[in-house]
Amino acid sequence: MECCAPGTISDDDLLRYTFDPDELAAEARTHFDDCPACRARADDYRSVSNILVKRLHRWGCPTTLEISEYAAGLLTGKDRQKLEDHFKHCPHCAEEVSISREFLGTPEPAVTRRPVLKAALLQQRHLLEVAGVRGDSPWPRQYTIDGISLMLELAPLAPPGKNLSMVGMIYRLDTSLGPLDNIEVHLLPTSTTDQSAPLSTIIKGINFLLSNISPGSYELLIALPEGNLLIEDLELRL
Amino acid sequence: MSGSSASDDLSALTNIQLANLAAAEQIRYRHHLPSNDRYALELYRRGIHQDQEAWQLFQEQVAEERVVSWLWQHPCYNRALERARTQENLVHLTFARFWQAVGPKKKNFSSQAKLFEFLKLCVNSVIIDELRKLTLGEIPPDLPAPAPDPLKDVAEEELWALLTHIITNPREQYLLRLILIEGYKPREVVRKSPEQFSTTQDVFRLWRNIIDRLRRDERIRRWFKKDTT
Repeated sequence: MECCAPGTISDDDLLRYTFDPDELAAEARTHFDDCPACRARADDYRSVSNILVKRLHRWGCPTTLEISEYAAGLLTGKDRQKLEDHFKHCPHCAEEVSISREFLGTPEPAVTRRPVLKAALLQQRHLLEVAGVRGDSPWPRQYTIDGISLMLELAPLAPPGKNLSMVGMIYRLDTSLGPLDNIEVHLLPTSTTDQSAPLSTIIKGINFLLSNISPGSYELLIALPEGNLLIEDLELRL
Repeated sequence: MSGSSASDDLSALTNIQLANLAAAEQIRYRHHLPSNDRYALELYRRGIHQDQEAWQLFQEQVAEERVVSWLWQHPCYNRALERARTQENLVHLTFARFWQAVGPKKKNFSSQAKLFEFLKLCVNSVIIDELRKLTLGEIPPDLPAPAPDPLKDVAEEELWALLTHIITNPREQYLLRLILIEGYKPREVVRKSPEQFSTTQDVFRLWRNIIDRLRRDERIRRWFKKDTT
Protein backbone atom coordinates (compact mmCIF):
# COMPACT_ATOMS: atom_id res chain seq x y z
CA MET A 1 0.00 0.00 0.00
CA GLU A 2 1.47 3.34 -1.04
CA CYS A 3 0.89 6.87 0.13
CA CYS A 4 -1.49 8.79 -2.12
CA ALA A 5 0.46 12.06 -1.74
CA PRO A 6 4.07 11.36 -0.74
CA GLY A 7 5.78 14.12 1.22
CA THR A 8 2.65 15.43 2.90
CA ILE A 9 3.31 13.61 6.14
CA SER A 10 6.63 14.07 7.92
CA ASP A 11 8.11 11.55 10.35
CA ASP A 12 7.20 13.94 13.15
CA ASP A 13 3.59 13.96 11.98
CA LEU A 14 3.50 10.19 12.38
CA LEU A 15 4.46 10.57 16.03
CA ARG A 16 2.19 13.55 16.53
CA TYR A 17 -0.67 11.41 15.24
CA THR A 18 0.39 8.72 17.74
CA PHE A 19 0.50 10.97 20.79
CA ASP A 20 -1.76 13.89 20.16
CA PRO A 21 -3.73 13.94 16.87
CA ASP A 22 -5.31 17.26 17.86
CA GLU A 23 -1.91 18.88 17.44
CA LEU A 24 -1.70 17.98 13.76
CA ALA A 25 -1.96 20.72 11.16
CA ALA A 26 -5.25 20.64 9.25
CA GLU A 27 -3.56 19.48 6.04
CA ALA A 28 -1.87 16.54 7.80
CA ARG A 29 -5.09 15.58 9.54
CA THR A 30 -6.98 15.53 6.26
CA HIS A 31 -4.24 13.44 4.72
CA PHE A 32 -4.45 10.85 7.51
CA ASP A 33 -8.21 10.70 6.96
CA ASP A 34 -7.73 10.07 3.24
CA CYS A 35 -4.61 7.91 3.12
CA PRO A 36 -4.86 4.33 4.45
CA ALA A 37 -1.12 3.79 3.92
CA CYS A 38 -0.07 6.65 6.23
CA ARG A 39 -2.76 5.75 8.70
CA ALA A 40 -1.47 2.18 8.83
CA ARG A 41 2.12 3.38 9.41
CA ALA A 42 0.99 5.66 12.23
CA ASP A 43 -1.25 2.99 13.74
CA ASP A 44 1.70 0.66 13.79
CA TYR A 45 3.63 3.09 16.02
CA ARG A 46 0.55 3.82 18.01
CA SER A 47 -0.33 0.21 18.78
CA VAL A 48 3.15 -0.63 20.09
CA SER A 49 3.29 2.55 22.19
CA ASN A 50 -0.24 2.12 23.50
CA ILE A 51 0.20 -1.49 24.52
CA LEU A 52 3.39 -0.65 26.37
CA VAL A 53 1.83 2.39 28.02
CA LYS A 54 -1.22 0.41 29.04
CA ARG A 55 0.97 -2.22 30.67
CA LEU A 56 3.44 0.07 32.37
CA HIS A 57 1.51 3.24 33.11
CA ARG A 58 1.85 4.07 36.82
CA TRP A 59 3.72 0.80 37.34
CA GLY A 60 5.42 1.07 40.70
CA CYS A 61 2.90 3.62 41.98
CA PRO A 62 1.15 2.74 45.25
CA THR A 63 -2.37 1.34 44.93
CA THR A 64 -5.18 3.82 45.30
CA LEU A 65 -6.13 2.18 48.60
CA GLU A 66 -2.59 2.80 49.89
CA ILE A 67 -2.88 6.41 48.69
CA SER A 68 -6.17 6.69 50.58
CA GLU A 69 -4.74 5.17 53.76
CA TYR A 70 -1.78 7.52 53.56
CA ALA A 71 -4.00 10.55 53.04
CA ALA A 72 -6.11 9.51 56.02
CA GLY A 73 -2.97 9.31 58.19
CA LEU A 74 -3.34 5.57 58.75
CA LEU A 75 0.15 4.58 57.61
CA THR A 76 3.17 4.72 59.88
CA GLY A 77 6.86 3.87 59.91
CA LYS A 78 8.39 2.26 56.84
CA ASP A 79 5.09 2.04 54.96
CA ARG A 80 4.63 5.78 55.25
CA GLN A 81 8.25 6.57 54.40
CA LYS A 82 8.14 4.34 51.30
CA LEU A 83 5.19 6.28 49.93
CA GLU A 84 6.70 9.65 50.76
CA ASP A 85 9.87 8.71 48.88
CA HIS A 86 7.72 7.79 45.89
CA PHE A 87 5.73 11.04 46.00
CA LYS A 88 8.97 13.03 45.66
CA HIS A 89 9.33 11.98 42.01
CA CYS A 90 5.72 11.14 41.08
CA PRO A 91 3.52 14.19 40.51
CA HIS A 92 0.52 11.95 39.69
CA CYS A 93 0.51 10.34 43.13
CA ALA A 94 1.15 13.66 44.84
CA GLU A 95 -1.92 15.03 43.07
CA GLU A 96 -3.97 12.00 44.13
CA VAL A 97 -2.93 12.51 47.75
CA SER A 98 -4.09 16.08 47.51
CA ILE A 99 -7.49 15.04 46.08
CA SER A 100 -7.82 12.32 48.70
CA ARG A 101 -7.06 14.72 51.53
CA GLU A 102 -9.66 17.12 50.23
CA PHE A 103 -12.27 14.35 50.25
CA LEU A 104 -11.26 12.47 53.38
CA GLY A 105 -10.83 15.72 55.25
CA THR A 106 -14.45 16.62 54.52
CA PRO A 107 -16.08 16.39 57.90
CA GLU A 108 -19.03 14.11 58.31
CA PRO A 109 -22.26 16.03 58.88
CA ALA A 110 -22.25 17.46 62.38
CA VAL A 111 -23.22 14.91 64.98
CA THR A 112 -24.52 17.38 67.49
CA ARG A 113 -27.55 15.76 69.00
CA ARG A 114 -30.85 17.24 67.98
CA PRO A 115 -33.23 17.94 70.84
CA VAL A 116 -35.56 15.06 71.61
CA LEU A 117 -39.10 16.26 72.18
CA LYS A 118 -41.07 14.32 74.70
CA ALA A 119 -44.74 13.95 73.94
CA ALA A 120 -47.38 13.83 76.65
CA LEU A 121 -50.15 11.29 76.13
CA LEU A 122 -53.52 12.85 76.84
CA GLN A 123 -56.34 11.06 78.60
CA GLN A 124 -57.99 8.85 76.04
CA ARG A 125 -61.55 8.79 77.37
CA HIS A 126 -62.73 11.77 75.36
CA LEU A 127 -61.16 10.48 72.15
CA LEU A 128 -62.61 7.03 72.62
CA GLU A 129 -66.03 8.55 73.04
CA VAL A 130 -65.61 10.66 69.94
CA ALA A 131 -64.44 7.62 68.00
CA GLY A 132 -67.31 5.55 69.33
CA VAL A 133 -64.92 2.98 70.80
CA ARG A 134 -66.03 0.93 73.76
CA GLY A 135 -63.84 -1.06 76.13
CA ASP A 136 -60.11 -0.71 76.82
CA SER A 137 -58.66 -0.16 73.37
CA PRO A 138 -55.53 2.04 73.59
CA TRP A 139 -56.33 3.55 70.16
CA PRO A 140 -56.72 6.24 69.00
CA ARG A 141 -54.23 8.24 71.01
CA GLN A 142 -53.56 11.92 71.29
CA TYR A 143 -50.28 13.56 72.31
CA THR A 144 -49.26 17.15 72.85
CA ILE A 145 -45.78 18.50 72.44
CA ASP A 146 -44.93 22.19 72.91
CA GLY A 147 -47.77 23.65 70.88
CA ILE A 148 -48.11 20.63 68.57
CA SER A 149 -50.92 18.12 68.56
CA LEU A 150 -50.43 14.56 67.34
CA MET A 151 -53.17 11.99 66.93
CA LEU A 152 -52.47 8.36 66.06
CA GLU A 153 -54.92 5.72 65.01
CA LEU A 154 -54.12 2.08 64.40
CA ALA A 155 -56.24 -0.17 62.21
CA PRO A 156 -56.05 -3.58 60.61
CA LEU A 157 -54.87 -3.42 57.06
CA ALA A 158 -57.59 -4.04 54.51
CA PRO A 159 -58.18 -6.72 53.35
CA PRO A 160 -58.03 -8.17 56.84
CA GLY A 161 -54.76 -9.87 57.66
CA LYS A 162 -52.35 -9.72 60.50
CA ASN A 163 -50.66 -6.51 59.39
CA LEU A 164 -51.71 -3.03 60.45
CA SER A 165 -51.76 0.51 59.24
CA MET A 166 -51.25 3.70 61.22
CA VAL A 167 -52.79 7.02 60.36
CA GLY A 168 -51.36 10.13 61.95
CA MET A 169 -52.57 13.70 62.11
CA ILE A 170 -50.16 16.36 63.29
CA TYR A 171 -50.53 20.13 63.38
CA ARG A 172 -49.45 23.22 65.29
CA LEU A 173 -52.00 24.62 67.65
CA ASP A 174 -51.05 28.07 66.42
CA THR A 175 -52.18 27.67 62.83
CA SER A 176 -50.47 30.91 61.79
CA LEU A 177 -47.15 28.99 62.03
CA GLY A 178 -48.18 26.87 59.03
CA PRO A 179 -48.47 23.11 58.48
CA LEU A 180 -45.78 20.55 59.22
CA ASP A 181 -45.61 19.52 55.60
CA ASN A 182 -43.01 17.19 54.00
CA ILE A 183 -41.48 16.10 57.27
CA GLU A 184 -39.97 12.63 57.64
CA VAL A 185 -41.79 10.08 59.77
CA HIS A 186 -40.14 6.77 60.68
CA LEU A 187 -41.51 3.76 62.49
CA LEU A 188 -38.52 1.93 63.96
CA PRO A 189 -38.60 -1.63 65.31
CA THR A 190 -37.09 -2.03 68.77
CA SER A 191 -37.52 -5.66 69.62
CA THR A 192 -35.19 -8.47 68.66
CA THR A 193 -38.02 -10.95 68.82
CA ASP A 194 -40.15 -9.44 66.05
CA GLN A 195 -39.67 -9.61 62.29
CA SER A 196 -40.47 -5.93 61.84
CA ALA A 197 -38.81 -3.71 59.27
CA PRO A 198 -38.47 0.05 59.61
CA LEU A 199 -41.11 2.01 57.69
CA SER A 200 -40.84 5.59 56.51
CA THR A 201 -43.12 8.20 55.04
CA ILE A 202 -43.57 11.94 54.98
CA ILE A 203 -46.30 14.22 56.26
CA LYS A 204 -48.64 15.46 53.52
CA GLY A 205 -50.44 18.56 54.72
CA ILE A 206 -51.24 17.44 58.25
CA ASN A 207 -51.56 13.68 57.70
CA PHE A 208 -49.34 10.69 57.29
CA LEU A 209 -49.96 7.01 56.67
CA LEU A 210 -47.77 4.04 57.52
CA SER A 211 -49.09 0.79 56.15
CA ASN A 212 -48.23 -2.90 56.17
CA ILE A 213 -46.91 -2.75 59.72
CA SER A 214 -46.04 -6.12 61.25
CA PRO A 215 -47.32 -6.32 64.80
CA GLY A 216 -44.48 -5.57 67.20
CA SER A 217 -42.65 -3.06 69.39
CA TYR A 218 -41.68 0.24 67.83
CA GLU A 219 -40.61 3.83 68.27
CA LEU A 220 -42.16 6.57 66.19
CA LEU A 221 -39.69 9.23 65.08
CA ILE A 222 -40.94 12.49 63.54
CA ALA A 223 -38.11 14.78 62.47
CA LEU A 224 -39.68 18.13 63.36
CA PRO A 225 -37.75 21.33 62.62
CA GLU A 226 -37.39 22.04 66.33
CA GLY A 227 -36.12 18.55 67.19
CA ASN A 228 -36.88 14.85 66.98
CA LEU A 229 -40.28 13.92 68.29
CA LEU A 230 -39.90 10.43 69.68
CA ILE A 231 -42.80 8.30 70.84
CA GLU A 232 -41.23 5.34 72.57
CA ASP A 233 -42.59 1.95 73.64
CA LEU A 234 -45.31 1.69 71.03
CA GLU A 235 -46.82 -1.77 71.14
CA LEU A 236 -48.56 -2.04 67.80
CA ARG A 237 -50.93 -4.96 68.08
CA LEU A 238 -54.68 -5.16 67.90
CA MET B 1 -32.48 4.22 71.42
CA SER B 2 -33.33 0.63 70.63
CA GLY B 3 -35.33 -1.08 73.29
CA SER B 4 -33.17 -4.19 73.13
CA SER B 5 -30.81 -4.86 75.97
CA ALA B 6 -27.07 -5.25 75.65
CA SER B 7 -27.32 -8.84 76.75
CA ASP B 8 -29.42 -9.89 73.73
CA ASP B 9 -27.89 -12.86 72.02
CA LEU B 10 -27.51 -11.71 68.44
CA SER B 11 -26.66 -15.18 67.20
CA ALA B 12 -30.33 -16.11 67.66
CA LEU B 13 -31.43 -13.41 65.20
CA THR B 14 -31.99 -14.09 61.53
CA ASN B 15 -30.15 -12.01 58.96
CA ILE B 16 -33.39 -10.24 58.10
CA GLN B 17 -34.04 -9.33 61.75
CA LEU B 18 -30.50 -8.02 62.10
CA ALA B 19 -30.83 -6.02 58.89
CA ASN B 20 -34.14 -4.49 60.01
CA LEU B 21 -32.72 -3.47 63.37
CA ALA B 22 -29.50 -2.21 61.78
CA ALA B 23 -31.50 -0.17 59.24
CA ALA B 24 -33.52 1.37 62.09
CA GLU B 25 -30.27 2.31 63.84
CA GLN B 26 -29.01 3.97 60.64
CA ILE B 27 -32.15 6.13 60.63
CA ARG B 28 -31.55 7.05 64.28
CA TYR B 29 -27.94 7.90 63.46
CA ARG B 30 -28.99 10.03 60.48
CA HIS B 31 -31.34 11.99 62.73
CA HIS B 32 -28.61 12.45 65.33
CA LEU B 33 -30.20 10.21 67.91
CA PRO B 34 -28.14 7.83 70.03
CA SER B 35 -27.77 4.63 68.03
CA ASN B 36 -26.50 1.13 68.49
CA ASP B 37 -24.01 -0.35 66.03
CA ARG B 38 -24.02 -3.96 67.19
CA TYR B 39 -26.58 -5.15 64.64
CA ALA B 40 -24.62 -3.70 61.72
CA LEU B 41 -21.37 -5.16 63.04
CA GLU B 42 -22.94 -8.59 63.51
CA LEU B 43 -24.33 -8.49 59.97
CA TYR B 44 -20.88 -7.50 58.69
CA ARG B 45 -19.25 -10.26 60.75
CA ARG B 46 -21.56 -12.86 59.23
CA GLY B 47 -20.94 -11.41 55.78
CA ILE B 48 -17.16 -11.78 55.93
CA HIS B 49 -17.65 -15.34 57.15
CA GLN B 50 -19.17 -16.29 53.82
CA ASP B 51 -22.84 -15.67 54.64
CA GLN B 52 -23.83 -14.17 51.31
CA GLU B 53 -27.30 -13.14 52.42
CA ALA B 54 -25.83 -11.23 55.37
CA TRP B 55 -23.28 -9.54 53.10
CA GLN B 56 -25.99 -8.53 50.66
CA LEU B 57 -28.18 -7.14 53.45
CA PHE B 58 -25.22 -5.36 55.00
CA GLN B 59 -24.57 -3.61 51.69
CA GLU B 60 -28.18 -2.72 50.93
CA GLN B 61 -29.56 -1.81 54.33
CA VAL B 62 -26.56 -0.58 56.27
CA ALA B 63 -23.89 0.78 53.98
CA GLU B 64 -25.24 1.72 50.56
CA GLU B 65 -26.89 4.98 51.56
CA ARG B 66 -23.64 6.10 53.17
CA VAL B 67 -21.58 5.09 50.11
CA VAL B 68 -23.86 7.05 47.80
CA SER B 69 -23.63 10.17 49.96
CA TRP B 70 -19.81 9.93 49.97
CA LEU B 71 -19.72 9.51 46.21
CA TRP B 72 -21.69 12.72 45.84
CA GLN B 73 -19.34 14.50 48.21
CA HIS B 74 -16.22 13.48 46.32
CA PRO B 75 -14.63 16.38 44.39
CA CYS B 76 -13.97 14.08 41.40
CA TYR B 77 -17.30 12.23 41.36
CA ASN B 78 -18.41 13.67 38.03
CA ARG B 79 -15.11 12.85 36.32
CA ALA B 80 -15.20 9.31 37.67
CA LEU B 81 -18.74 8.99 36.40
CA GLU B 82 -17.51 9.75 32.87
CA ARG B 83 -15.80 6.41 32.89
CA ALA B 84 -17.93 4.34 35.24
CA ARG B 85 -21.08 5.57 33.46
CA THR B 86 -23.47 5.06 36.36
CA GLN B 87 -23.54 5.65 40.06
CA GLU B 88 -24.54 1.98 40.50
CA ASN B 89 -21.28 0.90 38.88
CA LEU B 90 -19.31 3.03 41.33
CA VAL B 91 -21.27 1.61 44.26
CA HIS B 92 -20.64 -1.91 42.96
CA LEU B 93 -16.92 -1.22 42.52
CA THR B 94 -16.73 0.23 46.02
CA PHE B 95 -18.20 -2.88 47.61
CA ALA B 96 -15.98 -5.09 45.47
CA ARG B 97 -12.93 -3.11 46.64
CA PHE B 98 -14.14 -3.27 50.23
CA TRP B 99 -14.60 -7.03 49.98
CA GLN B 100 -11.12 -7.50 48.50
CA ALA B 101 -9.65 -5.59 51.42
CA VAL B 102 -11.63 -7.12 54.28
CA GLY B 103 -13.04 -10.45 53.08
CA PRO B 104 -9.97 -12.65 52.72
CA LYS B 105 -8.42 -11.30 55.94
CA LYS B 106 -11.72 -11.43 57.86
CA LYS B 107 -10.90 -7.94 59.06
CA ASN B 108 -12.67 -6.92 62.25
CA PHE B 109 -13.69 -3.41 63.21
CA SER B 110 -14.16 -2.31 66.80
CA SER B 111 -17.06 -0.02 65.88
CA GLN B 112 -19.32 0.94 63.02
CA ALA B 113 -17.51 4.29 62.87
CA LYS B 114 -14.18 2.52 62.18
CA LEU B 115 -15.86 0.30 59.61
CA PHE B 116 -17.35 3.29 57.81
CA GLU B 117 -14.04 5.12 57.97
CA PHE B 118 -12.47 2.24 56.02
CA LEU B 119 -15.41 2.01 53.63
CA LYS B 120 -14.97 5.71 52.87
CA LEU B 121 -11.33 5.02 51.96
CA CYS B 122 -12.62 2.44 49.48
CA VAL B 123 -14.93 5.03 47.90
CA ASN B 124 -11.93 7.31 47.46
CA SER B 125 -9.81 4.47 46.12
CA VAL B 126 -12.40 3.54 43.49
CA ILE B 127 -12.80 7.13 42.31
CA ILE B 128 -9.05 7.67 42.04
CA ASP B 129 -8.77 4.39 40.14
CA GLU B 130 -11.39 5.58 37.68
CA LEU B 131 -9.39 8.78 37.18
CA ARG B 132 -6.24 6.73 36.55
CA LYS B 133 -8.06 4.70 33.91
CA LEU B 134 -9.57 7.85 32.44
CA THR B 135 -6.14 9.35 31.89
CA LEU B 136 -5.13 6.18 30.12
CA GLY B 137 -8.10 6.57 27.81
CA GLU B 138 -9.27 3.04 28.46
CA ILE B 139 -12.40 1.77 26.82
CA PRO B 140 -15.41 2.02 29.12
CA PRO B 141 -16.46 -1.32 30.57
CA ASP B 142 -19.68 -1.78 28.64
CA LEU B 143 -18.19 -1.18 25.20
CA PRO B 144 -16.82 -4.13 23.18
CA ALA B 145 -13.63 -5.44 24.74
CA PRO B 146 -10.36 -4.33 23.13
CA ALA B 147 -8.17 -6.82 21.30
CA PRO B 148 -6.42 -9.16 23.72
CA ASP B 149 -3.47 -7.49 25.37
CA PRO B 150 -0.40 -9.38 24.07
CA LEU B 151 1.45 -8.50 27.24
CA LYS B 152 -1.22 -9.49 29.70
CA ASP B 153 0.74 -12.50 30.96
CA VAL B 154 4.02 -10.62 31.18
CA ALA B 155 4.96 -9.21 34.57
CA GLU B 156 5.73 -5.50 34.60
CA GLU B 157 9.17 -6.19 36.08
CA GLU B 158 9.97 -8.61 33.29
CA LEU B 159 8.77 -6.21 30.61
CA TRP B 160 10.68 -3.26 32.03
CA ALA B 161 13.84 -5.37 32.40
CA LEU B 162 13.59 -6.36 28.74
CA LEU B 163 12.95 -2.80 27.55
CA THR B 164 15.92 -1.46 29.48
CA HIS B 165 18.03 -4.34 28.21
CA ILE B 166 17.28 -3.30 24.64
CA ILE B 167 17.35 0.45 25.30
CA THR B 168 20.52 1.02 27.28
CA ASN B 169 21.21 4.72 26.75
CA PRO B 170 20.31 6.58 30.01
CA ARG B 171 18.64 9.47 28.17
CA GLU B 172 16.49 7.06 26.19
CA GLN B 173 15.69 5.05 29.32
CA TYR B 174 14.63 8.28 30.98
CA LEU B 175 12.30 9.02 28.05
CA LEU B 176 10.89 5.48 28.26
CA ARG B 177 10.11 6.05 31.92
CA LEU B 178 8.52 9.44 31.33
CA ILE B 179 6.29 8.24 28.50
CA LEU B 180 5.46 4.67 29.46
CA ILE B 181 5.34 4.79 33.26
CA GLU B 182 4.63 8.39 34.09
CA GLY B 183 2.33 8.99 31.13
CA TYR B 184 3.87 12.21 29.82
CA LYS B 185 3.16 13.44 26.32
CA PRO B 186 6.05 14.83 24.22
CA ARG B 187 5.13 18.43 24.97
CA GLU B 188 5.05 17.69 28.70
CA VAL B 189 8.40 15.88 28.47
CA VAL B 190 9.99 19.05 27.08
CA ARG B 191 8.36 21.13 29.81
CA LYS B 192 9.54 18.76 32.53
CA SER B 193 13.11 18.26 31.32
CA PRO B 194 14.13 21.05 28.94
CA GLU B 195 17.79 20.40 29.69
CA GLN B 196 17.45 16.87 28.23
CA PHE B 197 14.89 17.50 25.50
CA SER B 198 14.82 20.96 23.99
CA THR B 199 11.96 20.49 21.49
CA THR B 200 9.11 18.06 20.82
CA GLN B 201 10.92 17.16 17.59
CA ASP B 202 13.77 15.93 19.81
CA VAL B 203 11.35 13.71 21.65
CA PHE B 204 9.69 12.47 18.45
CA ARG B 205 13.03 11.55 16.89
CA LEU B 206 14.22 9.69 19.95
CA TRP B 207 10.91 7.92 20.45
CA ARG B 208 10.74 6.77 16.83
CA ASN B 209 14.22 5.40 17.23
CA ILE B 210 13.24 3.58 20.43
CA ILE B 211 10.09 2.05 18.97
CA ASP B 212 11.92 0.93 15.80
CA ARG B 213 14.53 -0.84 17.90
CA LEU B 214 11.93 -2.44 20.13
CA ARG B 215 10.01 -3.72 17.13
CA ARG B 216 13.16 -5.32 15.75
CA ASP B 217 13.77 -7.26 18.96
CA GLU B 218 12.92 -10.94 18.59
CA ARG B 219 11.24 -11.34 22.02
CA ILE B 220 9.04 -8.28 21.57
CA ARG B 221 8.11 -9.47 18.08
CA ARG B 222 7.17 -12.87 19.49
CA TRP B 223 4.87 -11.30 22.09
CA PHE B 224 3.14 -9.11 19.57
CA LYS B 225 2.90 -11.94 17.04
CA LYS B 226 1.12 -14.10 19.61
CA ASP B 227 -1.53 -11.41 19.76
CA THR B 228 -2.26 -11.44 16.06
CA THR B 229 -2.49 -15.23 15.62
